[in-house]
Amino acid sequence: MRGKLIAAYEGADNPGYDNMYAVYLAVGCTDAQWPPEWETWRQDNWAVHEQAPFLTWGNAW
Amino acid sequence: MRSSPSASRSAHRHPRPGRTFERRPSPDRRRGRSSGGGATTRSSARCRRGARCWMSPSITPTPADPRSSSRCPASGTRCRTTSTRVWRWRTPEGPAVRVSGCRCWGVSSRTMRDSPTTGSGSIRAASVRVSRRSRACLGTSMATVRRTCPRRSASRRSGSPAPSATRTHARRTRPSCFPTCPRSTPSGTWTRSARRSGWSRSTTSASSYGTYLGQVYATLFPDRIRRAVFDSTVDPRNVWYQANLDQDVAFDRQHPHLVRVARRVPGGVPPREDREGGGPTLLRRADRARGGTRRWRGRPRRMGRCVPARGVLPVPVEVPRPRLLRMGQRPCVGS
Repeated sequence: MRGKLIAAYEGADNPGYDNMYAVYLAVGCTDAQWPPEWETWRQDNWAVHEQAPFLTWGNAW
Repeated sequence: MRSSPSASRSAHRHPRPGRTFERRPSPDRRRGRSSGGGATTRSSARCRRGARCWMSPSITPTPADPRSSSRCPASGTRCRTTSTRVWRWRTPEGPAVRVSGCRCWGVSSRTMRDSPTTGSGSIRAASVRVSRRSRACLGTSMATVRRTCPRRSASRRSGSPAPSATRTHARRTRPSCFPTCPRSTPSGTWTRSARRSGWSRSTTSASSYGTYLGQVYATLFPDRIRRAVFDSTVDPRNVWYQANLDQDVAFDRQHPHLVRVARRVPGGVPPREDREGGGPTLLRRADRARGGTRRWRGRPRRMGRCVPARGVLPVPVEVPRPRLLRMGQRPCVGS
């Protein structure tokens, strides 16, 4: 079971994506302003989580 | 995050190279050297099928692709022609838009293939038929940003910001609908790539992040975009914090529909194959199960009327906005 879990994770993501994600993160950070307060993130995402639990926290970046 | 081939067929029906895509000599070509510094040898090659492809020099050719398709020896792009249908967002039940284009597997498709779960977005190859048997494509993607970022840093270190014409233009003409319009590395990269390619106008298909860039670019430079197809659109007014919250709700709404589609496909959606093939894998399997004639493997060929059934692609639905609409608001959880 554990092996399958690891295989599933590695199938979806692996260190080879680090460079792309690093660039993506850098571009995303400079594209627009983001709320500086973690409390804003926490409250907003928990509120949206009530409507959309599947993606909300996985998409909080 | 799904993708779609690029370039409207209607744009190619009556090719008028002299008017629709005014090819002008690149400044680099006039000077007889490449621009941008560093290893910036522009790649230009002609595929076996006659397509002529330009690639930004900063885009690394893709490694060997298992799919058999013609390959530009210099640029490394793999091109094939396909056709599909794109639904208009405003009229999902209305007539479909028929598009066809030259997919550059070595450019933006790689971005989509490599990041199926999060979708870094891409701007697919712009494509235009310049003659009966020749098709030119301009590829650009997130990959081009990699070279641009260090250059900006270097200019700042040297104390000479020297904003590019694009960036200056973006500052002066920043439309009010884009409060967070980038200043703009991606837009500038796009401009430079287009300039290097020698095209003054381009037909573009973009997905996800690419739709954000495409909308900003088309707003800043409406005369440089002839037609555009946006798939999995991002509302540029809300990037990125609010857009992500909206996306959460939208995904939750669309997910049951995706599951229903997957259940109709024998074997469901294999994660690995779907990751490598993206949306087309699902469509190919669905089409095969329906006795369709879509052929994606083998030598690239014109697809004729191999169009997926209407019910296969997710039809966009009206997504209600989440209760929290403005950044910075402090809602009461549970109220």
